[in-house]
This record gives sequence, C-alpha cells and structure tokens, in this order.
Amino acid sequence: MANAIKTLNTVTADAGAEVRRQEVLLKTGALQDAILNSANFSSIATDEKGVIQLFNVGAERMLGYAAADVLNKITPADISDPQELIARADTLSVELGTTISPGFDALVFKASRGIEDIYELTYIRKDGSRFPAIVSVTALRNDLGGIIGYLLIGTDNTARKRVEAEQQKLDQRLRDQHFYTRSLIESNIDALMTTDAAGIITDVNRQMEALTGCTRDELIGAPFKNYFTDPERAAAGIKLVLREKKVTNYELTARARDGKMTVVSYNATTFYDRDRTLQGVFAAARDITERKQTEQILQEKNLELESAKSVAEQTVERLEEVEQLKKGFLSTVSHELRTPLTSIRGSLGLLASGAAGPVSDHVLEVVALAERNAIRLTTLIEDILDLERLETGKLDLHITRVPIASILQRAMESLATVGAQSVTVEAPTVSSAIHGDADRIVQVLVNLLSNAVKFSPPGGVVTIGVTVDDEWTEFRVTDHGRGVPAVHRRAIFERFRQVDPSDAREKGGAGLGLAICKSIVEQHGGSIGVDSDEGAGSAFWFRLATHTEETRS
Amino acid sequence: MKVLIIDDDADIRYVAAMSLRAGGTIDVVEASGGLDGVRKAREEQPDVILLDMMMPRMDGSQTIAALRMQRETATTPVIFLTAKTIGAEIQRMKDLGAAGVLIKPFDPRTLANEVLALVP
Repeated sequence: MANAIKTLNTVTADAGAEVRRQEVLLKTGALQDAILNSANFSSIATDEKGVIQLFNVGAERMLGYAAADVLNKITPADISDPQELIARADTLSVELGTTISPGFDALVFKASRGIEDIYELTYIRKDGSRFPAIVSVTALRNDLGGIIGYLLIGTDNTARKRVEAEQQKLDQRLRDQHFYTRSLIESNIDALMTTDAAGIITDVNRQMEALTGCTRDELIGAPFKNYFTDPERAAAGIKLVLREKKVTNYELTARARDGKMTVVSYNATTFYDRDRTLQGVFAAARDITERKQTEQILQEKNLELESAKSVAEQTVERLEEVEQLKKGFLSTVSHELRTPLTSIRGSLGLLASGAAGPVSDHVLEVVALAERNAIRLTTLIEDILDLERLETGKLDLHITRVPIASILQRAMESLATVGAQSVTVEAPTVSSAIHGDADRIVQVLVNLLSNAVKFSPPGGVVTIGVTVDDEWTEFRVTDHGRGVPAVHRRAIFERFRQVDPSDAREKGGAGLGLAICKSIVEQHGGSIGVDSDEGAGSAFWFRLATHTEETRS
Repeated sequence: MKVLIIDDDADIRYVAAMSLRAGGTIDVVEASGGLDGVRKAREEQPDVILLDMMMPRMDGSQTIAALRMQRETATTPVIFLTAKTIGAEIQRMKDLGAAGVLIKPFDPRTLANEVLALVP
C-alpha cells in the first residue's frame, strides 16, 4: 500500500502540491488505510490520463490481477466490458451533446466535469470472467482544482445482478406462462369469454372478437347479453350458470356488428380464485351454424320424404278410390243404360201387345223391329259388363260339383226361349259331373248352341256331344252350317270379331259371345276351340275339369 | 189385387203401371220415392210392393227397412224391380227380405205374371 502511494506521488506533476497532498494523505492515513485496504471495495486510482496508479487488495481480490500486473500499464477501461464502454460512450455523447470516445473517457467524463457519477460496470477478470460492479468515480484534483487523476471505487454487484437475473428469469417465466395460457385461449376454436357475476365481459379471445365483430377493448366491460339476438335468453344463461355452476349446449344466436348471425352452442362454468371466491363465468361458444343448417336440410328432406310418402299414400288411396269407382262404374253403367231401355222396351212391348190401344199391322211390324233391337241392346250391355267383370277378375265363380245332366237340361230350356224351333238338338245322357260354376257353364253352352242354331240352315241339326275321362270333360257342339274358315278360327274368340261383319246385322249379336265363353272357360282352368270343315259345319268344344274325389277336396 | 210401385223414374212407373193394369185385375198405386212410398204403403195397404233399388235420398234398402219397421207394412211382400244385375247385388237384395228380384228392362207382356208368381 505504501508503495502504491509512493508511486502515485511520483507521477504528480506539481511537486509542491504533491507534498501537500501527501501530507494530507498521511494526516488522514488511518482513514485511507481503512478504505484502501478494504477487501470489500475495489479502489483503483489513475493519473489524469487514466493509467492505473493504485490497485488495492479489494481490486486484486475481485479482479484477479496483482497490482504489479496493472500499475502504470493499463487503464481501467482495458479491464472493462468493451460493449458497455461503447454503449456508455454513446449514451453520454447524446446526453451531454459532445462526442465521447468509448475508452477511459467514457468511464470518467462525467466525473471530469464535476458531476457525481455512479454506475454499473462489468469488469473483465484476469481469467476472462465477468465481474459486475457498481462503480463510483471521483476526479482527483490538486489545490488549484486541476485534475490529477481519478479514483474508481467499485463494490461487488454480483449478488444484485444475480437477484436481477433471477427476477428477470422469473419475469420471463411469468411472461412465458402468460403467453402459454393466452395462446391456449387464443388457439381454441371456440369463442371464449369470461364475465363477472353480473354478466359483464372480463376477457375474450380472438374468436369472440370475430363472432361479435367487436374488438377486445370494446368487448371487455360490456354486458355479455348485448351481443345476441335474444338478450333475455343470454342473460338467463349467465344466471343459469351461476345457479347450476355448469351449463352445456345452451344455444344462442350471436349478432355481429355487421349483422351476421351465428348460431352458437355454449358450454359454461363458474370459476374461482385460490380462496374459492367466485370470480365469474367462463363460457365457450361453438359455432353450430353449419350443424343447424344440416339439421335444417335434414328436416326439410324429412318433410319432403313425408310429403312424398303422403303423395304416395294419396296415390294409393286414389288408386283404391279409382278401383272402387270402377266397380261402381260397372254397376252404374248397367243401371243408367238399363233405366231408359226399360221405358223404351216397356213402351214398345205395350204397343205390340195392344195394351196401349189398337195399332195397325204395319205399325206392329215397325214396333217389333224396334223392340227386337231394344232387346239386342240390352243383351249387348249385359255382355259388355260380363266381359269386363270376367277380364278384371271381378266375376266371382261359385265352383261346385255340377252334374252334367243338369247343365244340359238348363241349356236346352234356355235355348227353347230364344226360338230355335227349327233346329233339333240331340244331347247325350251323361251321369258324371264337372267342377265349376253352374250358371256360367250353362251360359257358355247356351252361347255355343245359339251360335250353332243361328248359323244352321233351316231344318238343320245341332248335336251336343260329351266326352268324359278322369281329368277332363269335353262338351262339343256340332252344326252343319257354313263352317269357320281356318284364318278366323283363333280370331273369333276375340271381342267384337265375327267371320262376316254383316252377321252382326243379319244374325244379331255383337261378337262378344265367344269372347265371354273363352273367358269363362279359362277362368275355370279349361280350354275352348273350334274344329271346322269350311262349308261343312263346325264343332265348337270346351273342356273343364271332371269332378272326382280329388277335385272335391 | 193392389200393387204399389215405388220408383223415382216416372216413365218406368208409367210403363210398369200400364203393364200391370193391362190384364184388368190389378190396381196400381205409384210413389216417386222411398219416403212417399212408405207413406203410401201405410195408407193404401197394397198386396205387394214393386221397389226400385237405386233412388236418390232414400234408396231401396232404406225403404224396405222403413217398411218393415212400420206395423201396417211389416209383412207386405216386396219385390225389387231393379237395373242392378250383378250376382252379388241380387243376392244382397234377397238378403234384405225381398220376396223376389225382377230385372229391368222387363217385358211388359209378362210382368204381371212374374209379379204374381213371386207373391206367396
């Protein structure tokens, strides 16, 4: 220490002042010793150029240099963080409006201007490590006030720096934590929001901003209910959460500032602080507009389906109605045609019988003609209806065991009433039975016999033949008329078909008889046909199931 | 013998009445509908009633039911004179308690005999 002071003295320019200062220094030696020998302060004294003249034990301990390493060799700037020097020089240059170089000047400039200067400075230790210090700089002056050097007293700033660093770390961690929390909130696809217990918004995320078209600042502090089409329901939702502590799938329609509507489904809970004091409501809104639209579409589709189903049902109903109408139509046609025919035929009959008064023979002839045609029309109507019923399956057949003898007898009786006096019908005696509807079988046989009689020459013979085997019974009606040309043999069983169209006028009948016969026989599961030698007569036949023990069951 | 004809068609009533009267032994009373017919039947006490089936307001089946419920006509024979010719319909008319069913158009020369044949 004494050496150091001696050294300082040697560089002092003014010898007189030097002596005086030495005296003062010596006078206050105890104090100086205490300061300069303190291991807790680094005391570095320099000459006015900055060259180190004193480097105390505290400096040696803190900075790792021996005094001999630095005295008269370097300035404190040489063992300071160069970046800090540059930064300090820049700051001071701006602050004091003069250019200060980033060297020793930067460390002592303020002190040289008489300004008290205490600042943080990082020394670089001999081993290269950093030593943060708080440095107090004082200019050393001679009696005339001229600067003869500088004293830099530094205290160890490591602890404070460490605290600061830790604080900084903590702050950073807090910021990170906050950022993490915030990013969780912001990255949520739902519009998130917290409100206080009164329903005033306390926080929102960006989705909530998008949902409402309002900024975060606008939203925070505003009543939650303001942003929905039904504010009452929105307010009721908050109340519900507060009461139940939790609400799920609470639907609301948000209305954005630009009028855009979004249907959202809210899940919300109450939230609390550490002391379990209620803080408010945390609510997450999911956009369910699309789902709603899908539901809407589904609903519409369902309606369409329902409607289509209803149309189908109506169609079925209508078809059933039509079917019913058709049934009714047959009956109505029959009735409506028969009613006027009844009056016509009745009137003609009354005229012909003389019940309405005497008429001349000539008139009688005309009346007979009219009556004949009225009867023909009646038959035609009956035939058409018959055929219709047969072909639409509306004719209920009453299938029973029918003795062939009874069929033949009824047919002969029926034939007698149509005036076939000029024809002899020969029928066999048969004891077996067939399986069928007696009335309809008689109808077929009468029809065939009528045709045979109609087309037989006067005095001609019509024969009925019956052949029976276990399976089939065949009826055969043979005449000796003009026969059926081969080309017509199939067609004559169709409706309104006759071998000669003029037959309709000459022989009566509209050409429906054989079609009816065919239909009846076929409904019995039988068959019908004609064998004919053209010009030598015809044989119309039909086959029906023979009634046996098996057919009975 | 007295016959009541109940039919809404005046022409048919005319023809049927003349046909029945032609023999000179049958009196004929006419009614133009079911309600009129039920009343006439009570007043005139006919021996037989010729009843049309298809009539407006009160049809043949309703009329025969009304006749049966009326003491004076409860047992009077009823013959349906109808243009309905489908087998099932004829059967239904018989099931209603008719003495018989005659089909329109009828032959005016034989109508009286056909009616007489059906009266018990």
